[in-house]
Parts: sequence; structure tokens; C-alpha cells
Amino acid sequence: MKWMGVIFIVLACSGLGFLVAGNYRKRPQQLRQLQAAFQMLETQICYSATPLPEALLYVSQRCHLSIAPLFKRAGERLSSRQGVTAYTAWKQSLDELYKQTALNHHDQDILLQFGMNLGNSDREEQIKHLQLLQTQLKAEEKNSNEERQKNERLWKYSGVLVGLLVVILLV
Amino acid sequence: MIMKIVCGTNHDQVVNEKLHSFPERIEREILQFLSPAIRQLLLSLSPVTWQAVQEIRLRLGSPLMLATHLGDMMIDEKGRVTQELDQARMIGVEDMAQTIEMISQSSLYAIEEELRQGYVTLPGGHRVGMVGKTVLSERQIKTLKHISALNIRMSRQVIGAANKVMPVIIGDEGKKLYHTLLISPPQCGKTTLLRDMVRQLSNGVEALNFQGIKVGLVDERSEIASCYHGFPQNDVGVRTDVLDGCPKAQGMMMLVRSMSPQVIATDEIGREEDALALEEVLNAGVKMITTVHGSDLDEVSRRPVMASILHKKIFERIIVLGKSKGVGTIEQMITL
Repeated sequence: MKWMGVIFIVLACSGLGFLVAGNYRKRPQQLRQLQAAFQMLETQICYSATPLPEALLYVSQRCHLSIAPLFKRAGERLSSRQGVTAYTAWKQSLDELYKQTALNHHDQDILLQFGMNLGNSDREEQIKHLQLLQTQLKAEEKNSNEERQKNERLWKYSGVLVGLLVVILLV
Repeated sequence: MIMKIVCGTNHDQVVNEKLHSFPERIEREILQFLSPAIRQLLLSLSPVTWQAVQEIRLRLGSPLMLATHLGDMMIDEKGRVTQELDQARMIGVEDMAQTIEMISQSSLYAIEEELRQGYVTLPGGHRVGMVGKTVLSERQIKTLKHISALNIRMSRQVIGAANKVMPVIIGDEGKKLYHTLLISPPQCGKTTLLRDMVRQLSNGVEALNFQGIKVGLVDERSEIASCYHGFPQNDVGVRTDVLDGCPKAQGMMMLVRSMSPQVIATDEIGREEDALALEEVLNAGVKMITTVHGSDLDEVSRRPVMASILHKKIFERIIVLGKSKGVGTIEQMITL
């Protein structure tokens, strides 16, 4: 019975540590996937002038699964013709879904900022906004890689170690 | 010899018969493009009211207005018709922004070209005109921003609107078509009549023993066929080739060269290059059906360009529209 408790505590703590470490690992990946997705959106907007609802759904079908819901939800909301503006649809989708991604508050702010200009200007300006977004995402990706190197292992090891510490103190 | 037939008929009865499904059509084709708040207000209007409506007007900071042929109507907060300015529902920034998002599908970049022209065509052929601040680039209008007023013009096709006119422009037991000019003040059913003439010429008129002919339609302002993504939203007949959004003069010559039409139809001539193109068309042996703004023949013939066209006795039939007995009243049919 005692050993079961010990194993449970160690597993729980290291699991938690791995979870946090996992976020540090996934964030740069997802930031990269976002850049690819927005590249697709740029093509849709600037070369084929696809209306936004369609363009968002198009991107959601082709981008990485981890970020696809973000585009899908916004696209669906816009297609429903309930009078939502592109910004509202984008914001709602972001609010609902960003917790399921590895993105942090800072990334969310960048995406929200971009949403304010989504769709409401001519192509030339849309390109500018999209390029600014790409630069920002790239910078964040670089940051997140550095953070990953610092923190990923730290959290993995400390999870296990904290688990062992608790066990030692309790036994 | 000028033979005048004055006939005070109108096509209102036809309008009534054809529009019994109008409210649903309005909901599907127009109201879904308005901001939800305004949509809700307009949904409470009666079908009878809708039949009179020609335009829905949204101006920032001004009342929501419906233009009818009887005058303007304002709508109050509860969706009732009112004449009192202080009770009328005012259009706010939110209404305008949402409506523009709905019309453009949140994609202003996708209607860049249309913004430059100042109007967008909705599915169903209704046209939304807009004004705002123009952005210039090298003296050309680049786009519109800060859109401040919208005008949704309802397009209503009236099948059979030209029934009374067809026997006049077709002669020789269905073998001959006359060059025809329609004269009409704005909003008297000019485009509606022209559209139905095109449809009947293209499909043929059995009662007159007239076989359908190839029609070339230059639809400079997308009002006649009202193409949406290339598809005519109005029935313009099976032998009609539509050149959409093309300047009239260039379009007429393009059609003569490319599509071998037997008749060319176009709306609102009046510029010098139109007159030149007109002659080109006639020289190619193609019949011409066109319209011009004006209240009667005298007024039209006082304009230099029109005077020279009329002087050459090109047109063999002239039809004058008015609204003395409702929109679309045929006031005069003149045989020259």
C-alpha cells in the first residue's frame, strides 16, 4: 500500500513537470506552424482574393492540426452571417481555443492585434499587416526556442526530483 | 412622318402578380446583408410596404430611410414607418461597419475593383452603391475608405414588362426589328423594360411569330443582367451574350467583332464616343436598342450629342416612359 502511494506521487510530479516541459517544446513548433498558415492566408487574400470566411476554412483544412481549430472556428463564425465582424470572430475563436494550444499571452496579444486589421483594407495593406505578423511570429519563435533550451530539461528533471523529495519527506 | 400613339398603360398589374414571393426574396437576397439590428427592424415591414420600396438608404448619423416612388419613409425603433425625424432610427457607426462587413463578407480586399467603381452587386442583382473618402493614387481613384453612406437599389425583374412594347418594335410579321430608343426619367422602369425586351428578343416572341435572335448586351453598370461572379442574376434570354462592366462604346465594338450579334442592347447612351460606336454598330448591320435619360423627345433632342444622333434618323421607334400612372407607365410610342 505504501509503495503504491510512493509510485503515485513520483509519477504525478514528474507528469506535471513533463507537461510544462512539453509546452516549452510545442510553442516554437506551433509558432512555426502559424507562420506557415498565415503564409497560406496571404496567398488566399492577395492572389486569389478569396473572401475571408472561405479563406479561413481553406487554411484550417491545410494547416497543422494543433492550430487548425483557430482558423476553423473563426471561419465558421463568419460564414454564419450573424453580423459578427472579422475581428470579433477572430477574437472569440482565439479566446476559446488558445488554452488548448501551447501559445502564451504574448502570442495571443500579437494575434489579436493582427485581427483588428483582418479583412478591412485593400490587398496592399493586408499584405503589410500579414508581413508584420510574420516578423513578430518569427521573433517570438526565436525567443521561444531560447526559452525551451533553458527550461525544457529543467522542468522535466525538477518534476521527478520534487516527486522524490516529497516521498523522502513523507516516508 | 411621325405617328404618335399615346397609351397610358403601366405594368403594375404584372408587378403585383410576379411579386407575391417578394418578401421572402427580400429576406434572402437583401436583409441578410444588413447589420442584425437593422435586419430585425426591416423584417417587421409588411409585404405591401416592401412592394413600394425601391431603395434602402443608410447614411451615417442620419435616419434609416426607404425610398419609394411615393416618397421617402423613415423607420422608427420598433420597425414602424414614421414621418417624424425625431422618432426615426438613426444609423450609427456600428450599423454601418457591420453592414459593410456583411456585404463584403469581411473581405474589403476582395471587392477592391468594385469599390473603385463605387458599387457592389449582390446575388439577386441588387446593387449597393457607396460613398466615402476616396483614396487617390496618381489622380486615379484607388479605393474608398471610411464609407459613409450606402444605397441598396432593389432590382426587380418583371417578366412581361415589355409585352406592350414588343409589337411596336417588331414589324413585318416578325421578320423585322426596328432600332429603338427608350426615353425615361430616372426610376421609371427603364432598365426593367429594357431587360424584358432583351429577354423576349433573345427567346423569341411566339405571338408575333418572331424567332429569337442573338443579342449582345453591354451591361456597363451591371444593372441589366446583374452578373454575380459571372452568372446573370436576371433572366436575359437564351441567346444573350453579356459583356459585364464594360464601357459602352468599347463594349459595343467588341461585341460586333467577337460575338456576331444581331442586335446590341445597352443602357444610357449620351457621350460622344457612344455616338461614334453607335454608327459603327449600324454600319455592321446590327440592330440597336438603347436608352437615354430624359422626360420627352424634345428635352432629349436639345442635347448636342443626342441631337446629332436623332438628326441622322437612326432610331425608328422611340418609347417614352414616365410614372403618370405608376412606375413603368408607357407615356408615348413614337414611330419615325
